[in-house]
Amino acid sequence: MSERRLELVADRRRPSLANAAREIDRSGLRGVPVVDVDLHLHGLGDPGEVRRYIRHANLRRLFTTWESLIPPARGDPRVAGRVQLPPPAEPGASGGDRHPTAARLLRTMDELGVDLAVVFHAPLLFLAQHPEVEVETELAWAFARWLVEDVLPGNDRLRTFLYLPITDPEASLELIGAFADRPGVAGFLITALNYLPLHRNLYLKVFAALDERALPLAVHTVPNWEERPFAFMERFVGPHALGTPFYGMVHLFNLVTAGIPERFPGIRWIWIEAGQSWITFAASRLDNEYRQRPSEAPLLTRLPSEYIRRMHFATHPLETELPEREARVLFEYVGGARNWLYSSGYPSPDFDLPTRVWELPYLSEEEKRAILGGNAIRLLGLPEPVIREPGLPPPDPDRPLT
Amino acid sequence: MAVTSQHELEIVPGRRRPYLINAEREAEARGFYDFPIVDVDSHVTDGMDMRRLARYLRNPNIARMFEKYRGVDLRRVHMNWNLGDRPIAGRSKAYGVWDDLPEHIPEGMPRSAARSAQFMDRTGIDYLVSFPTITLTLGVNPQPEMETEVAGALNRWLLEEVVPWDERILVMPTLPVSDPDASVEAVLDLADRRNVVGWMIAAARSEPLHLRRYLRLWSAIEEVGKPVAFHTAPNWKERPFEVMGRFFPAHGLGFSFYSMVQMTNLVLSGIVERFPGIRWIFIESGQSWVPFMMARLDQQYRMRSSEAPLLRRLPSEYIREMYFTTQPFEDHTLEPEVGRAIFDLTNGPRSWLYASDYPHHDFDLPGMIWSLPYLSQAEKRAVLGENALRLFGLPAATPTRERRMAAGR
Repeated sequence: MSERRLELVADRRRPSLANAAREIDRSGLRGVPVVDVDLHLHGLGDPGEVRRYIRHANLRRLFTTWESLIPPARGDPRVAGRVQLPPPAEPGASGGDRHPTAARLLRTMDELGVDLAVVFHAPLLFLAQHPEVEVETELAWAFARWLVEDVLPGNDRLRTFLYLPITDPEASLELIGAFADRPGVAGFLITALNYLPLHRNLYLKVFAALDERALPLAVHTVPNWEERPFAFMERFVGPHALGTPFYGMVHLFNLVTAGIPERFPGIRWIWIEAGQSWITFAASRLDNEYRQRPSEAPLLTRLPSEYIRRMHFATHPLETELPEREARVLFEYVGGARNWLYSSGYPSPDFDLPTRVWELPYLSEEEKRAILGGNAIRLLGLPEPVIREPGLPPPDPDRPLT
Repeated sequence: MAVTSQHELEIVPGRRRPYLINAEREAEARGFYDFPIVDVDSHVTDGMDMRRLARYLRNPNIARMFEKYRGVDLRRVHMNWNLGDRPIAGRSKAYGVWDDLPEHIPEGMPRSAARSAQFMDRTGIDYLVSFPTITLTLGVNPQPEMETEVAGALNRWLLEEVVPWDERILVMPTLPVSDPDASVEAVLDLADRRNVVGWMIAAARSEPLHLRRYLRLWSAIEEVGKPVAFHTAPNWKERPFEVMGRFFPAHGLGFSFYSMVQMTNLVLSGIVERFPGIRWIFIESGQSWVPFMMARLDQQYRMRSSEAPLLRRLPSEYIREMYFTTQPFEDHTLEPEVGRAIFDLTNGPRSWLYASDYPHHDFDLPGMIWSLPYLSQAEKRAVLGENALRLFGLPAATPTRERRMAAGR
């Protein structure tokens, strides 16, 4: 019997979310608008749906399964099954007149207590690692069309940050031009695991295109166990713990000192999945360096930390280990409640329910509401108030999911 | 007018640069001569004639390199040149401060010893741990025997040529950890030498220090009882840093990064649990990286504890028992509550150790700590000296004051 069958008993709710609805009711969170800026699109369904949008005939021929073109990542996020996760979507699962992927996402959102979610196609996290640039550009294009044309229409509670194939600035421009104004597109996203000097002239037109439209650009970090400084670590916990924030730091340090946020003040930067405590480090460290080496960052008109305080940071994975008093001081040092955007990271093994933010002892209720939804509503220009669609009953904790 | 180099313009023979003159005024005004101050990271070998090392090298092939090449050539050909312009084309006010030497150096006294002695005399520092700068990149040298040989030679040179000139100069011999056997040998050979107070490892390296072959080394260090320090350095040539268009971000992130790498590995692999007697020091990484490590490793440990099965406590609890040098002191003076929060989180009253990094361009004088508005007088004295005295088992003496009195000052 497989491990999966051992964990999942037929007609029993998935263990991860079994208590979520109860927790939301108990915490008094029901009725508070919740926007999740990083819900991973899990259970990708039939690859044929995406495949038909691939323009490049050769790649279309090669793309037979999800794994056929998307680079794998080393490291076992689920710790050999110790972390319990829901099974992938059943291809062709019924969602009424909705796209099955949308139906599944909405069901997940109901369980999480999320009103509106920005979805991201998580398998693309390692796409920039593919040595063939066309694979990145073509899959980015195909996924964008699939999401915008098949999945999102008719689903007001779903938005997306579209993957930007930044390796190829021209293809990125084309994607922005084609999709920036399409319904459901809330912004664009790049992954931090790349080796691109993003401050160079060839990328500036991409930043300019985002700047003109005042669009969010999310930077989603991931670990890389195979990087030399991490390769000698004996278990994935080390590369995962340090590596995930590290690749975000690399680009933050480079972009800020190169003056990209100064030159393109319209871009709304969102840093995703690196936690919180690294921001304090980055701000403090950059300011200290800047005071010593301002001639190497001549475009800056403010301290680096002041640019950081104008950026946004997704909360997942929420770090709650520091003592309350110090956590509050460090939180305020990097801008406080106005910078933070709730993200679930679901179904990452370390996903966070909205109640995690709601229960943080060092935040006021007003701050919690801002982080859980208010900031994202303002930043992404979402309809207010964000509430679940009428007629959709609250999730029944005892309803079986199959 | 003859074209002169910036170097010549800045250095007027027989004239001292203003830093140490002002430092001495500050030391007198603030009473730095009256209580013990320990500088846990003061650099030597900057501007050193590498040929002096040749006689301490055992391998004749490597000795020949040091005999035949001048310093710059030697670094370019056989040592890893650490790319990046620290003093920013001379913009740093402390550019070339390693040439700030006493007017009269006794015959035979190494420049490094003379500079260190002068620095202590003028700042009120009573002991300093001398660290040979050229060992910083030995950990990424593709020739492991270079690390073993050069580290060994530097250790002997320091103990035989530098320390005898001034009892205030302390040594943490460099361990060539690319060779665990040679490292164990160094620990056993040098443990009882006068003024040896601990061990030094260059942090910019990729050896799996948790593997079985290193356990004998950790065991020897624990048994001897002297602390072990990781001295970090940036590596702009590391692939992720190559995206950076200036040295600034590679310097700013890189210094802290290699300490993070070593700390992550030592804690999560359980070395800290298996060798509870070892006291760990992390040098030249700043302050704010430590709360980041505590929060992040704890959060991840709770998610993946089965991958760190040796731990009996949260990672942050091990980290709070470690020691951290203060330089480069991140400027929190505008927001004292942030500095205080970091100080408290990292167990600063017990674990912070003052370090100058002199004579490097971003060196900190003791006044940096003394002027922090969020530390009590007792805490300032602890950071400036008492924590290190306790860590190294040194007497609470003020030898610099005695020297000045003997000199009639």
